[in-house]
Amino acid sequence: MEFRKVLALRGPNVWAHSPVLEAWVDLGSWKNKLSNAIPGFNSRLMAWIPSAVDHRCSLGEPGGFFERLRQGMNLAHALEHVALELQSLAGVEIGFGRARETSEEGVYKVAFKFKDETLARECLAKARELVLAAAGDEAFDMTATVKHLQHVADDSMLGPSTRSIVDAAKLRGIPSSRLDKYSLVQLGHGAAQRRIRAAETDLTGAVAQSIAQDKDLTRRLLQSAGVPAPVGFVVENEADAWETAVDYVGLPVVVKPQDGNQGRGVTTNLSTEEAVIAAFRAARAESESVIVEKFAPGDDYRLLVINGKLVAASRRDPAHVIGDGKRTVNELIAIANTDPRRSDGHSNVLSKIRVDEIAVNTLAFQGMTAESVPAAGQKVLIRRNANLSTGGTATDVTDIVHPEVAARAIDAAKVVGLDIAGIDVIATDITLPLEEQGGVIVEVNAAPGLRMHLAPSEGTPRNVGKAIVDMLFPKGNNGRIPVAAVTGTNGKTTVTRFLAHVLRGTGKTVGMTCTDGIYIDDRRIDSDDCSGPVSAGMVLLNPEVEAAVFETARGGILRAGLGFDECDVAVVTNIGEGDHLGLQDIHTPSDLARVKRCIVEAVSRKGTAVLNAADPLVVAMAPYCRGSVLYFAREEDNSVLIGHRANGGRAIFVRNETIVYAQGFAEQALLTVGEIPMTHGGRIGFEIENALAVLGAACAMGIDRRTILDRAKCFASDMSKVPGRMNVIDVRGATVIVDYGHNVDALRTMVETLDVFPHQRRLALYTMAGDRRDDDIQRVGEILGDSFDRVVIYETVTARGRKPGETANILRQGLDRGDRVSMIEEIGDSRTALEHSLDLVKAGDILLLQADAIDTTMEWVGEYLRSSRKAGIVSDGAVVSAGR
Amino acid sequence: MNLTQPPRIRTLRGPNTWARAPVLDVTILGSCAGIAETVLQLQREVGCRVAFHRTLSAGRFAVEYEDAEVGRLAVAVALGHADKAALADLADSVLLGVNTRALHDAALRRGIPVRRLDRGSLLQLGWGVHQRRLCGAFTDRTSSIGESIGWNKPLAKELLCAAGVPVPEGRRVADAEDAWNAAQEFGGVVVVKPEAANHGRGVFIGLETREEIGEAFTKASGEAENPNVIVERCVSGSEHRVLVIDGVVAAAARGDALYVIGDARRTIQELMDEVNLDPRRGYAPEAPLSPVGPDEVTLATLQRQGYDAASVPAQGARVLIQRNGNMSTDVTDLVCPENQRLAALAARAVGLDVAGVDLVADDISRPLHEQRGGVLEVNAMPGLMMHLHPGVGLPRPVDEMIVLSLYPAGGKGRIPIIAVSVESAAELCLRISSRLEAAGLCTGVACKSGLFVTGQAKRSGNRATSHDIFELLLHPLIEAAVVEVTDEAVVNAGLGFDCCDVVIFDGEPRTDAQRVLYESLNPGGITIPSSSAEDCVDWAVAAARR
Repeated sequence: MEFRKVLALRGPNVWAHSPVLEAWVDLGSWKNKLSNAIPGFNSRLMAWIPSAVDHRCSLGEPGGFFERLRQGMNLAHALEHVALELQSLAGVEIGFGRARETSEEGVYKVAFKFKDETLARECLAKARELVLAAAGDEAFDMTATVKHLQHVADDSMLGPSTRSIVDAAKLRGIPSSRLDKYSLVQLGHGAAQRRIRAAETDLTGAVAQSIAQDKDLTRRLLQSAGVPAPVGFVVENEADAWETAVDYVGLPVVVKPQDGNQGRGVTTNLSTEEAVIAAFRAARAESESVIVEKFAPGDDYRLLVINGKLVAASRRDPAHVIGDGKRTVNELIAIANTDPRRSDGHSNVLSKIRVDEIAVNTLAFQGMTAESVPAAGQKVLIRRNANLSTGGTATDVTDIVHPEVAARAIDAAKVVGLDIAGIDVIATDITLPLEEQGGVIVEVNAAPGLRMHLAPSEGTPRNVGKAIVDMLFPKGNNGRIPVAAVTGTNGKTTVTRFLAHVLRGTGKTVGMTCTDGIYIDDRRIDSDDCSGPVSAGMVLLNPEVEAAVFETARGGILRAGLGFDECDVAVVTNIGEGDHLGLQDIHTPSDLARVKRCIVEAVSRKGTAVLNAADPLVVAMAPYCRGSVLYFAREEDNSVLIGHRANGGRAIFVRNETIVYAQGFAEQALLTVGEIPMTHGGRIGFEIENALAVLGAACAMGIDRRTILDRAKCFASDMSKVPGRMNVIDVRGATVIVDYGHNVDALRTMVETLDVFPHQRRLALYTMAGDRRDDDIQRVGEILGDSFDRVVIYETVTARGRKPGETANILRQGLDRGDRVSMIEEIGDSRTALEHSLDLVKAGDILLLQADAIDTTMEWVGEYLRSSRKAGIVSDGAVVSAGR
Repeated sequence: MNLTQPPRIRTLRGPNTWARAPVLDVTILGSCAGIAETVLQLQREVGCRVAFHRTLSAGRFAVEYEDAEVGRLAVAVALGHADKAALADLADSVLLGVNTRALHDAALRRGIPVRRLDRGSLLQLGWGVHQRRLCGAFTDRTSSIGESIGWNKPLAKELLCAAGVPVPEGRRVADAEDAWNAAQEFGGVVVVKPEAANHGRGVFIGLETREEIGEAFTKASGEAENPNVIVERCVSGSEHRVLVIDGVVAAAARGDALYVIGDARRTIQELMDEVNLDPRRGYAPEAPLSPVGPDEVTLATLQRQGYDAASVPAQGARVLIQRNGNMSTDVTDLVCPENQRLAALAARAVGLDVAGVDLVADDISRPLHEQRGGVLEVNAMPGLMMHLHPGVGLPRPVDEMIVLSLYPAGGKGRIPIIAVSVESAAELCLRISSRLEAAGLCTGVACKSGLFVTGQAKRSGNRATSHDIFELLLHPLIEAAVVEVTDEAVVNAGLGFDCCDVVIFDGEPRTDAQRVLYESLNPGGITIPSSSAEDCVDWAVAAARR
C-alpha cells in the first residue's frame, strides 16, 4: 500500500467546499483483499479505534462503518475512516471522507476534510501504518500515536486566542489565511485586508508595545493620566531592593522584573528581607532591571480593553490546592494536573501547575514544602501571581465591573497607546471604584491572552474575538473585494481579460490571473501560466487590489482546489467536447464539467453564476449555485434561456444584432454586436458569445451600464491586449490569424470563423501536445485535413511522455483522412516551421498560426514582421483582430 | 580640586531665572571659580550640546545640561568626586542616539515640545491630546506586526512578490549541498545570507564556486539564533536605500562599491588604511562612512580575487574591497516614478509607515523591471544619517519629514496653557477649568488644592509644582491646561512648560520667577490682571479657545 501522491486541496474542490486532503492510494498486494477476508483485521482495527463505532459510513447510522467492515470493505476505504478517526482523536472533529476508485485497478482516491494540513498529512501517514499493522497482524502503539498526533495538532494549529478571532471573522463572512506557521493571519482580501497575530493587530504599535513591556514607564504614564497605580521604584541590587521596600515603598511589597510578561519572575506580598532578596533574584533572572512596588491587597483581575471599550473581565486565582489531611502538596498538585482542561502549553483552557523554584519559595513562605500534608480544607498557594500560564484559574466578572473601574482601564490602554490591552487590576471588590478601596492598576499587557475570557474556568465565556474583528472590520465591511472566476474549455482567457478591462472602468485597481500571467491593472507581475490557485492567492494578498478576475483552469482545481473561498461571479463559457481529457483521471467531458463546476459551487449566496445556455453540461451546473444564475446565449429562442426568463431569471442574448439584457420579461438593449471591436463587426460568432459572458458578468457585478458599454466598446483587440487569441494580422495581403486554441472545439469554431474573412487558399500551422489522448489528436488532424489546403505540423519541445515523432505521426494519421488537404509538411523546429508558414502565404490566402507558447510565438511573429517590413515585403497593414 | 562636601544641586528643567535652557543650580562649599566652565566643557566632551554657564556667587553657579544625570556627574567629576571614564560611559548609555536626536531637534525646530519618556530612545512630542510618540524612526503608528514581517525575510519576500514588487528569486536551503543546487537554479552568481540577517552581518555576496558557497553557508548558519540560510540570485548593480514615509519616497541613497588601486608597493591593508584617512570615515555614529577593515566579508571578497590583506597588488590593479554598505551618494532626485511607486508599495505590502527599502539596480532612474533589479529588504526603523549627511550629494531633511508625518497640518502639538500666578489661585483655576469644560474642552488643572482632570480630583496635596505640571501635560486626553505657577516652584525646578498662552497676575510681575513666567508668554498670548475675577475668567476662556 503506497501513496502515489497526496494533494492538499486547500480551497473549494471537487470533493467539498472546504479543504480536503486527497491521497492516491495504490493498494498493491492488498488490492483484491477485503477487510473481512483478512484474518483478524477487523477485530484489531476495532480494538485500536473503538471510537470509530460512531462512523455512519454509507449505511447512514452509527455503527455503519464497523458493519461495513464485517461485510467486507477494501482497505482504501478503511484507510479513509481510520485517518478521519485519528484526526478526531487529535482533537479535530470532522466528519467528511470519501474513497473512490480510479480508472486504474487497485488505485483509489481517498479524501477527507481537514482543518490543519500538517496534522491531516500526519494522520494519513499514521492511518496507513495502522491499517498495514492490522492487516499484517503487527503491533501498533495506539496511545503513543494519539499522543503524537495531539502534539502535532498543538504545534501546528492556531492557538486559542488567534483561533477565536479567525472563527469570529468566519462568522461575519470575512476570509482568513495564515501568513506563517505561527499566529500571523491575514483577514480579508486585497486592499481590504488586515492582519492579526494573536491578540495583536496591524494597528498595535511597536512603540506602545515597548512601553507596555517597560513596567516602570507604564506606571509613570498611568500616574500622569490619573490612573491609580502603586508606588514603585527601579532597584539596583538586593540591598537596594530591601532598603527601597522599607524606606520608600513600605511593606509589604511586590518584586518584579522591569521587562517581562506572563507573570514570570513576579513575587507578591513580601514582608521579610529574606523573601525580598529571594524575589529579587527570581526577578533578576527575567530582566536586567527589577522593580519594587507597594503590594496592594486584593484579588487579581484582568480587564480586556479593545478599541476603547471594556470587553471582558476575569478574576484570576493563583495556582493553589486544597488539603485533604492525607495527601502531600505534591500529590495534590498531581491530582489537580489530571484535569483534562490543563495542558502543558497555552493551547488549552488551563495550564498545568509546575513545581519550580517560585513554587518552592511560595510554599516556604507558608511554612511548607512540597512534601507537607496540608490539613483538610486548607488552601495552599503554589504561586502568588494569578497568571493562567502558571497554573492559575479564571472566573468571568465582566458584568459586575464598576463603570469607574472600566473607565480607568480604558484610560490605561489609551495612555500606553494600545488598541487591544489586558489591564491587570488589584482590587478587593471589583464592583466598587478603585479609588474607594485602594485598588490599583499594576500592569498593561500588549497582546493579552484571551483564553481566560473565551473559556473561563467559571462564569460566562465572552466572545472577545468578535470584538477584535468588529474593530478591524466595522459593520458592513466583510473584508472582501469583488471576485469573478472564469472557466470553460475555450474563451476563458479572453473573457477574463475583457471582464478585467470592464471592471477597470469603475476606477478600481483590478488584479487578474490568466494563462499569460498575473496583471495588476496594466502591469504584468508574473508571466507564467497563472490560471491556478497560487496565483489567485497572490492577487488576494496584494494590498493594492480592489477587484479580481481569475481565469480558473482545471489543472489547478484538481491539484490544489480553488485559490479563493468564494466568488461573486462565476462564468463558465463552455465545456463542449472538452480538452486535456485522459489526464489526472478526467476522461469524459462530464468528468471535466464536474471539475469546472467548482467555481459555480463557490458562488456566494448573493452572487451569480453566468452560464452558457447553449451547452448542456454547463446548464447542468445551475442547481449547484448557491446564488442566482444568469444565462447567456446567442439565440434568443434557446429553450433554457426562455424557461429561465419565465421564472424571472436573468439572461443576456442577441436579437437583431443587438445585445439585450433581460430580467424575466423586462428587457434592456445594451449595444449592437458590431460596436464590440472584438467581434469583427459581429462576424465572429464565438467572440459574440465571449462578449455576452463578459457583459452578463459585468451586469451581475453591479457595474453601471454606462461604464460597461464604454468599456466594451474600447476593449482593444490587438496582440498586446490578448496575445495569442484570435489576433488577425495582414501579411502581404494575406490574412494571418494567430490563436492559442489547441483542442477539437477551438479548432472547429476557428474553422467556422475562417469564412468571415474572404480568402482563396487556406493554410495552417499546427501542433499538439503529447499528453492528449490519441483520439483527440487524430480528431484534430481530421478537422485540419477537412478544412485546409496546406498544413504544416511540428512537435513541441515538451513531448510530454511520448517518443519523438510519435505525436506528429498520430496527427498525420488524422490528417491523411481529411478530404481537403493537398499538402502536409512536417518541420522539426517550431520557429523554422512558423517562418516557413509565413513565407508560404500569398495575397488572398488565409493562414491559421497556432500559438503553442504564446510569448515566444508572438515574439517570433513580431520579429518576422519587422524584418519583412524592413525588406519591404510587408505593408504596414493595420492590425485588425479580436480576442477569444 | 577635591572638595569632600558634596554640592547641593537643583535641577531646573524648564525656563528659569538664569536661562531659558535647563540648568543645574549648584551650590558648593568654598570657591567655585572656573568650575562652571569645566562642567560645561566636560559635558561637551562627552557629546552634550550645552552653551550656558554663569557663576552666581562665590559658592554658587548655574550650568546648562542636556541630560540631568550626565550634568550631575560632570559636576562630580569637576569637583574630583568621580572620574571621567564613568562620565563617558554614562553619556554613552543615556544620551540620545543620532537618529533620535535628529528627530528630537527637528521637532524642536518646528516649535513642538519634546520630552524623553525613558532612558532609551522614546520621545514624546506634543502635549495632552496632541501628543505623539517616536522611538528612533518608529512612530506610534508603526505596526509591530509590520516590523516583524520586515524581519521575516521569506514572508516579506512572499508579500512583496504578491504585490508585484520585483524580488530576487531565492529560497531557504538545508545544507551546503542544497545551497550549491540553489545557486545553479538561480543562474550561478548568488547571495548567501542568514534568514534573519541584520546590518549585513553574515551576508556573502557574489558567490560562484562550490567552495565559497559551502563556506558562506557554514558562516551564515552560525549567525544569530535562527540558523536558517537563504540563497538567492545575486542581483547585479548598486545597493540603494530608499526611505519611504507614509507612502512617499522621502530620500534615496546609493551605496557604491569601493575599490583600491594597487601601486605595486603597498599592501591592501595599507591601501585600506589610506582610505580610512578620509575625514568622512569614522566610528562615530554621525560619520557618513564607516572605516573599511579586514572583516570577514571584506576578507572573503579579497579571497575571491586571489588576495588577502597582506597582498601587494600590481600597479594599477583594481581591487574590490566592499561591494556595498557605504550608502553614501544621495540619489533622491534620480529615482524614476515607477521605482518610487515600487518602493512605496514595498513599504505598504510589509505594513510599515516609515521604512527603509533596500533595492539593487544598475540605474535607479530606470524601472527595476527593465534591468532585473529587485527589492532585497524592507526595514523597520531605518537609519536617517545616510540621508541627513550623505557622503556625496544633497542632504535630505528626513527628520523633519517624519515629524511632518506626525503633525501633517503644521501643528505644534500644543494645547492652550493658562498660567495663574496670584494668591489663592486654586479657586480661580477651577472656575476657569469648569468654564472650559462647559465649552467642550477636556481640561487639566494643577494647583495647590490638587490635580484635576475634567473637574475630578486625580491627586490631592499641593500640585502647584513644576513636576506636576510636567506630568499633567502628559495626560493623553486633556485639550487645555490651567496651572498655578508659584515663585517657589520656579525657583526649585524652573517652569513646568516652555510657553504658555495666558498669564494671570495680581499686577505687574514683581519677582524674578514671575518675570520668567511673563517671558514664557507666546507671541500672541495675553496677560490678565486678576482685579475682576469674573472678567478674568471670561478673558482667559476666550483666549484659550482661540
